Amino acid sequence: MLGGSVLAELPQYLDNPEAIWNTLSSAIPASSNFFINYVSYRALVMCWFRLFYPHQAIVTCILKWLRIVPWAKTARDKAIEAPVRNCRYGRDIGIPVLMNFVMVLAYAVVSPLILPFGLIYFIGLWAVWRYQMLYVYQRQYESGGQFWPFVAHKVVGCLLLMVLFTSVVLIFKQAYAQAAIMLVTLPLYLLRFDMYLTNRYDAVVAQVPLMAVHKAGRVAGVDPDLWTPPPLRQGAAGWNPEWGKVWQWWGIPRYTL
Amino acid sequence: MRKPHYLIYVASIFVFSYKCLGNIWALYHCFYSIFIRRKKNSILIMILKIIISIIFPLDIFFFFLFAVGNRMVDRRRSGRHLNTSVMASAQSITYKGAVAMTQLSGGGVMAANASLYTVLVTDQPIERLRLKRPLGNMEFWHQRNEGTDPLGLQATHTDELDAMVPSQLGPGGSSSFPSLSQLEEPPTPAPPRVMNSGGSGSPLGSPTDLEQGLSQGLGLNVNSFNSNGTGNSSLEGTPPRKPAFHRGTSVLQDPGAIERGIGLSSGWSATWNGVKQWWRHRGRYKEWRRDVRWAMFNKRVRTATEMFSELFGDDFDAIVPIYPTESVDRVIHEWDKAAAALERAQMRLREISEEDTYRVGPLRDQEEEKKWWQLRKGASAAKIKRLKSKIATLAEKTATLQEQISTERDSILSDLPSTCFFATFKSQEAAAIAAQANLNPITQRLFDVQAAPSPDDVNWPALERSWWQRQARPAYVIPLILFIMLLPIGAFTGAFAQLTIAFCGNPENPGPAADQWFCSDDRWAVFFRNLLTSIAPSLLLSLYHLVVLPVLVYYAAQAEGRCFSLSQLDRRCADLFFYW
Repeated sequence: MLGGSVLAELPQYLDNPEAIWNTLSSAIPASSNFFINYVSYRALVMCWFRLFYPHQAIVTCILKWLRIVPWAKTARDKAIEAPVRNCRYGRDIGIPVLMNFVMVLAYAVVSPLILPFGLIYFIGLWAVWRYQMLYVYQRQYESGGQFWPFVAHKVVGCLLLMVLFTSVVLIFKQAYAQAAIMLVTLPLYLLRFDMYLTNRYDAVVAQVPLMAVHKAGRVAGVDPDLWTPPPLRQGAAGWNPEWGKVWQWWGIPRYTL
Repeated sequence: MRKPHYLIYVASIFVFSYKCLGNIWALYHCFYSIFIRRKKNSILIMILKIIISIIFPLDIFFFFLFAVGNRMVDRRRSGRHLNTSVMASAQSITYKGAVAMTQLSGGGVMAANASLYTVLVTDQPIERLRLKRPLGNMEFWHQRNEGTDPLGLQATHTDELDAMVPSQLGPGGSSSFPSLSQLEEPPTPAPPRVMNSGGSGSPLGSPTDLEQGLSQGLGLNVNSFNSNGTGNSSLEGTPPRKPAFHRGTSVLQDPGAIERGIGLSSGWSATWNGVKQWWRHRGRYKEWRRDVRWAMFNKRVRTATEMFSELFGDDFDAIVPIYPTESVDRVIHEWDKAAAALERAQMRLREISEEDTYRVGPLRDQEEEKKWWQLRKGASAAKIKRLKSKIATLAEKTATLQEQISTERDSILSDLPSTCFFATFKSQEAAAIAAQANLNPITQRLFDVQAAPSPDDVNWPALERSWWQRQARPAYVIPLILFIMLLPIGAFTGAFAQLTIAFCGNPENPGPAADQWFCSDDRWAVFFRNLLTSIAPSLLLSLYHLVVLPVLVYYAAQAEGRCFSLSQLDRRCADLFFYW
């Protein structure tokens, strides 16, 4: 956000370095137009587009319905014809959620017009995600809800970015006192809150309480097949082309360098 | 899979309604520009808007197609076409990652997640910790000089190294290293103290106790380290390993020899030992390193078994080693493709056979019909012959690949396991305590114990990395991460906006393609130039965000090799996306 503003006015800064402060103080709020457009575009278009195009299998099925591509006939081909995919949490939380959160929060004070569009976007995204979690995606692994603490801490990070960005804008606008108050008070509070989240929520579940398992049932033994990957089991039981991948049927390789 | 909710259709109609209103406005604006304002370029505007107005109502049609597509997806995934017996076996409790606890009265089984009974033991650099004794007379129990030093703290010569590592690989990839389930029974009839909970006296006494404890504590057979000795039979026929401990108990009496023999002591002596060992084995460096890895693996497994057995007694179940999967996986993929091609050919053969039994079209003249049937049978016969030949070839290929899979799996399971392994317990309490404790020997650092991820959450490729790879790989991956973070995709797509200027230039300074049709003043040329500069950047950016960037970020996160579970890998991807 800052970089875009700086690059846009770079020739002026090179010619007249003294004008940096004045120019940036107006360029940064001006660059908010792009982000308002972007957030409103995502709220009004991309949010809903996701409903119609959750993944590539939709296009394949339409082509088959139009008889352009033949339907699968064997059981093996039918099983992977419209494969069940899982949500790419890493990508879907990283970009549609957190990136937009950073944008909306960063311009919340500098350009408050972004806020209603951000609200519309997240309301729409909530509805769309809820629908897709119920009817479209099927989970591939179970982490026990570990994404929630991750997102909570990252939201605090987004708030910190908001404080830093707003302070920079205030400095460029020569509102030094306001910027100093923000920088001195708010990051400390956010850090305190982050520590509170860690101590109150993360620490209590970092390890299983022993009393919870003290009287849990005993077993005669654990089948080693449980901890054997499918290719190495008898008859490769449980093997499928996308076994053990974090994002199934999204075209990622299982092995890397 | 549930059917799509009716609200999706309501929302879709709402969205497309306002788009249609936009189209109506565009048409009105076009009419207004042409016939009322009479603008000069109104004809081009009119053409564009008419095109848009035709395309957008198609959105309604495409909406139904998408809805149909979603229903088609749902129908094909409904499972009606799948073999239920295959599905039933895939639903078994083991493949759901659960362990049966008790039988319920209704015939069901109460089960718990297997990760509650399992810990993951990851390797750490083998180091001897130089701890000073806090009180002069305090002596660590394992340093009692009874002629034994099971944890390897006494000095000796290095020749005992060979007793602990495979000296030579036999044919078929089998090694001469012992199967620990085949260790010879010690002469004493006393039960192994290492396996009893609450044992008294010296926890680790004679080497014979240790051997016995190892054989029963590990309960190793060739392919699984199940203490009940009831491991799966996936490797029948794998040649057994010979017990190396029989070469003498001096190794167990002084396993410290292993450390010096393979240069595992810490400090400057480690460097000097490493140089000496490299010089000694300079002609067979790879084999020497392999022996070192075997020795390290066995040291960790042995020590882990001793510790778990001593601390948890009967609650400790077994050690399950981890093996690399890539080579076997590759062959299975080839087999899967060949099997799919075989099934398609068989299906086609059946279809052709069924087609011949039906008449096609109305009855013809007798002569014509006879000729038609002859042609058809001739064509069918040729097709059938080709298909049968293809089926035979594919069947042979799948059979060959199946043998290759078995051979490759046997080879992998006989070879060096990964540095990490799982340890299973019979009670959740023991597993919880093991996951929270430092279970290294007092003066050594060997491994780190943590709670195991859920069986369906294991990131197998990461568990094949050693501690050194886990430390070094993030550095190798940094260039890729920097490339992702710093790639100015916005600037790159923005350059498309300048593409026409780059090609066509301006009248004062014409570009290299200035005399081409694309750069002319033809209305369609103008239209295509505008299309390129307006749509291409957005399309490129969207493709990059949807397709390229996720794969690059995933590749970087997986290549780091530090995420033992898929959920951890997903969170690492989210981390990288956030920083990006």
